[in-house]
Amino acid sequence: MKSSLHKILPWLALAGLAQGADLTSSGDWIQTITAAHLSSGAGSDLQAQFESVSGVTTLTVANASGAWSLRARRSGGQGHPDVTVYVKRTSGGGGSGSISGGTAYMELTTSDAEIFSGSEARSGISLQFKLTGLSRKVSPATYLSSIIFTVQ
Amino acid sequence: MINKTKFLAVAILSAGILSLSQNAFAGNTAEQVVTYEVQAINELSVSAGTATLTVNSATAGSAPNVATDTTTSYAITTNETNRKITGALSANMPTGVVLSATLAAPTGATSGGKLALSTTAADLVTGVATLNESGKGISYELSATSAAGVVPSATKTVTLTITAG
Repeated sequence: MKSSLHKILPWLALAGLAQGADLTSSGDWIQTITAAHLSSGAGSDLQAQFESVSGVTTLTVANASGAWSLRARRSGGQGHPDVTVYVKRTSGGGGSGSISGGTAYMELTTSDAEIFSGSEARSGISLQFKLTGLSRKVSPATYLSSIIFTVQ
Repeated sequence: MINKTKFLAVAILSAGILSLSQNAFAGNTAEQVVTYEVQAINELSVSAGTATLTVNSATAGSAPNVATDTTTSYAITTNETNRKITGALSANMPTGVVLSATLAAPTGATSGGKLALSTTAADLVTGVATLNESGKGISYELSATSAAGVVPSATKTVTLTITAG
C-alpha cells in the first residue's frame, strides 16, 4: 500500500499544478476611418494613430491560485500589413490578487508575448488599443485583427 | 489487498486527468477583435473661394484681350485609384464669352489642359490615384469676342469634383 501511494503522489501533484486560471474577455473595438480623420483636411494624409477608449476591452482572471502571466498575440490574416496594433493596460481591475506591468503600449505580433502579470483573481482589467500605419495608401475596406489573450 | 490498491491508484489518476481536462475546457484563452474600416476618402479644396477676371482691353483690330487668374490652387487627398477631377459651371456663360480652366496635375495624374467650362462636367485631371498633395495650380481664363458686346458683371460657381475616372 505504501509503495503504491508513492506512485500516486506525483500524479496528484501534477494535477494540482494544472489548476490553471480561467480567462474571460469582453468588448471588441471598431474604428471607422473617414475623411474627418485627415490630419488637416484635403491635401493631407490620415492622422498618425488611432486610439480606442480606455477599457474598450476588459479581462477577468478567475480561479487563479498563485502568479500568472497574461499574454497576447494577433491571429488571422485579415489585417492590413501596413497597420500595427498596440495594446496597453489602463486599469488593474479589482480582486484579491495583484497586477503589474503592461501600462505602456506594446505591439501585438503573431507571437505570444506577455503584456502584464499578476496573481490570484482579478476582474475588470481594462485595456486600450492603438492603431498606427493607416494612410491614404490603405485601400477602402474592412480589416480585422483577432487578438488572442492567454493566461498562464 | 494488492488488487484494491491498484484500483485506488487508477481511480485517483483518472480523477487527476479529468481535472486537467476540465481546466483546458474552462478556458485560459479569450479572443477579441479589433476592426478598422477605412471608408473611401476623396477630398478636394481650393485655396480661395473667389477669382476675379475682367476683360476690358484690346489691341485695335484684334479681339479683346484674354483675362487670366492664377492666384488659386487646390489640394487633394484620395485613397482610391482611377479617379479624375471634373469641373463644371453653375450656369453657362453668355454667348461669345468663354471661361476656361487649367488644373496642374498631381503626381502620376494627367492634366486635361485648358478646357472651356460649362454646365457639363469637363475632365480637368485624369488618372488620379491614392495621393495627397497641396498647392496644385489652377489657372482661369476669360475670353470674349467683340460680338459679345458689353456683358454685365456676373458670378459663376465652378465646382471641382473627384469622381471615378
